[in-house]
Amino acid sequence: MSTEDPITKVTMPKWSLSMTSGKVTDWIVAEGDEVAEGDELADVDTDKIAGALEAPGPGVVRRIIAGVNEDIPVGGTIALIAPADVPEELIDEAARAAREQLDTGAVEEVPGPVTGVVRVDGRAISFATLGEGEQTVLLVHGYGGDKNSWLFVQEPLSAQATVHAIDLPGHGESAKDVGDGSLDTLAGAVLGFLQQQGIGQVHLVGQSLGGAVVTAVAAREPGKVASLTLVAPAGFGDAIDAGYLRGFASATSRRELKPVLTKLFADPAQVTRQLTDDLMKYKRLDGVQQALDTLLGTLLDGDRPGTDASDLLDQVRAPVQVVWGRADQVLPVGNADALPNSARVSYVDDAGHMVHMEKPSAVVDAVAKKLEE
Amino acid sequence: MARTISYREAINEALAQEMERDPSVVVMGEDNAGGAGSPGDDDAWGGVLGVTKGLYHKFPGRVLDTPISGSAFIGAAVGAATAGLRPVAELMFIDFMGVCFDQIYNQAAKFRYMFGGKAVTPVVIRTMYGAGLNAAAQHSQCLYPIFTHIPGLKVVLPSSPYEAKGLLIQSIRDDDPVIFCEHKALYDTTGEVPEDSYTIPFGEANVVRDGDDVTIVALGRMVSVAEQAAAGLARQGVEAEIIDPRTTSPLDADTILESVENTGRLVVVDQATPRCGMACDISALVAQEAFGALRAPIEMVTAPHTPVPFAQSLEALYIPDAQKVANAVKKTMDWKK
Amino acid sequence: MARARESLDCLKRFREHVTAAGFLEPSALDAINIEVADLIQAAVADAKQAPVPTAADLSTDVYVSY
Repeated sequence: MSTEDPITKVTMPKWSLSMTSGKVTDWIVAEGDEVAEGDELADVDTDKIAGALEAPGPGVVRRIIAGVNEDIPVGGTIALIAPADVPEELIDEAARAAREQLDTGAVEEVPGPVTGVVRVDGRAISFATLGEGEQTVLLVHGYGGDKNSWLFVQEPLSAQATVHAIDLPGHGESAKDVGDGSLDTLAGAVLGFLQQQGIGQVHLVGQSLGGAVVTAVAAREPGKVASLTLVAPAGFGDAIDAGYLRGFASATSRRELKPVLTKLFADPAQVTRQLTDDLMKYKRLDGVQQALDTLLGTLLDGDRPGTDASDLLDQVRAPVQVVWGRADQVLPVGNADALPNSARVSYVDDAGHMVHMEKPSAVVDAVAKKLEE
Repeated sequence: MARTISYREAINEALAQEMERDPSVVVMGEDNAGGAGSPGDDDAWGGVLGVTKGLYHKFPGRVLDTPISGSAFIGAAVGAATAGLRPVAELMFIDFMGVCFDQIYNQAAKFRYMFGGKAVTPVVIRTMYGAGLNAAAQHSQCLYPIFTHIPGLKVVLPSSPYEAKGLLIQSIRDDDPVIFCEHKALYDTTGEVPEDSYTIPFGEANVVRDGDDVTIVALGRMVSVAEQAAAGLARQGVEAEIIDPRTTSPLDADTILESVENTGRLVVVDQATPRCGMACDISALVAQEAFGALRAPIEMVTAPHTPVPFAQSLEALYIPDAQKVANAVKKTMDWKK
Repeated sequence: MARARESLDCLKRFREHVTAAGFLEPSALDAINIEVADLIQAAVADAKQAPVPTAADLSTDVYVSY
């Protein structure tokens, strides 16, 4: 987004390493609509995932370039946002150029995150990095997830910082051995990663189990942590849906898994066949069952939470903020009351446990604020 | 890390990883090592189409070249399985089953039953099937329906590299005799396959594509034919649901029935000949269990009731293609009482 | 026919061969025969007094798991 050019090009984002193109399945805004940063512009579909494209900045939607269901390469311009006073001729010119680019296939390839593997305590830890900013952000996923779940957050934040997303042991492309599966072991893996990458100061972001893990990391190395953003974190409060966790761990088929996954989102339609298939493929990798079962021991004590991270906050020096979806069924939003008053909580409407996928701008904004402070 | 590899490499990787993990897994068959003993690293051919290449050197003593006597070495594999090994024997062409069929269907398939549960026969018989490489009548058949018919055997038909690796690992870990059928025209096809070992359960069909208008059940190589047909049909506003059973024994009836309950139309595509085959098997199952849901008669797309031709022009007509599948779908869409 | 049985019965010929060459004592072979006969007798007796299989037993042991 150039400060000189009054016209903002809304482009097809790169939401995953393998994504090369996407389609707008529905325009939420129309030409002439005024939008604020983060407002939803369109529903976008790629072969892996569907999501809502958010406005990169404020302005008026002056021109819609991409048609519904038109295949647009990543980086291609799909709409133009500009202040109302920008002359129509300039918009026409920009629209023509964008259309020509799309028609001739001259769209520059957008590089996705750079992936890599480091070895920590004999375990391979897989990570993906995007952005080259001075500050560093580390995103840590939750139980059964992986670094790709941050796709709607990593890309926008990469404009302002170097953003890493890692796979915890037992997950994604990291080693599947979780040892005793304790918070300490997982925190050790994260700290090992930071050390190997030579990262001195980091803004930590963790969701669900990842939230408890980054809290443990911040408690162990308070000097390293610039800020702590917890997204629907485990380890705080009394309520937990043990049935969801056990259901996820024990499902042996797509049919068994699909209904369990609907608990993750405010809108059950987010549980696509692709999502369910990808999770089953993950669950069928050697070692994953054992990892998930072991981690259940950390997350649960009978039907109640098995981890209490609230004490750890006493050792954390960095400012703590929390983002929680009001419709969270797995770790209900009431758990936020267990956090100290000093932690700023932002409650997000129309979002469940996967708020970083459902309403990513809420998480992006929260982290961006910490980067600016 | 998932990366793009071929169907052939996926099978090779499954064998290598299982042999690494379990010392009782051995590989045997005609030319499975191939030229072994000649000097040099690249000597061993690794099978007639290179599927077992490299294993001979990685696992000395565990990859055996057998004489050209299917009856003898398949029998040996079956016997070895009951005695504690987990052999993966290669019946090079499924067309050769005739010379060793007794060992498979009268011995391997029945040991457990006839010995009152005392015998365990964890043998995997890998075999090539299918037309399309101009290999003519005696090297191109699809005889998996015959194995499917035999209680005591399990029959597996992977349609892609991801399926091939996961299903073969599952087959090797399975304690029953498994006939693992590889379409020879699929060896060079590629797809994303995780580096890690993983399994795919038997008796679980894969829904390859979602759709509300018609259910297409497709086997083996026909899955990609169905996908081509579905792409064309989508442009005409017809959304096909494609189901890949993955295993014909056990067969995932539930997924097929659930789909037909929703779409009301069924087309079964099988590259095998039409009599007593999977197309009839699945059609009868659906006609019996989901009769009320059907909005049109079931359509079957198969090879004709002839041996596989050698003339290229005829072989091209022999194999079901996307146009034939689309025509069958249209018949179900257009049908009126 | 009877002559063929005498001269071509391989069970007989095996016994003659291994005992003549001193590989096995006749008593050892007799012991095996008795042991096997006993095993068979016991199995038959067992089977005769065992309950008749029912419909529930129809699919027992077709597979280890299906």
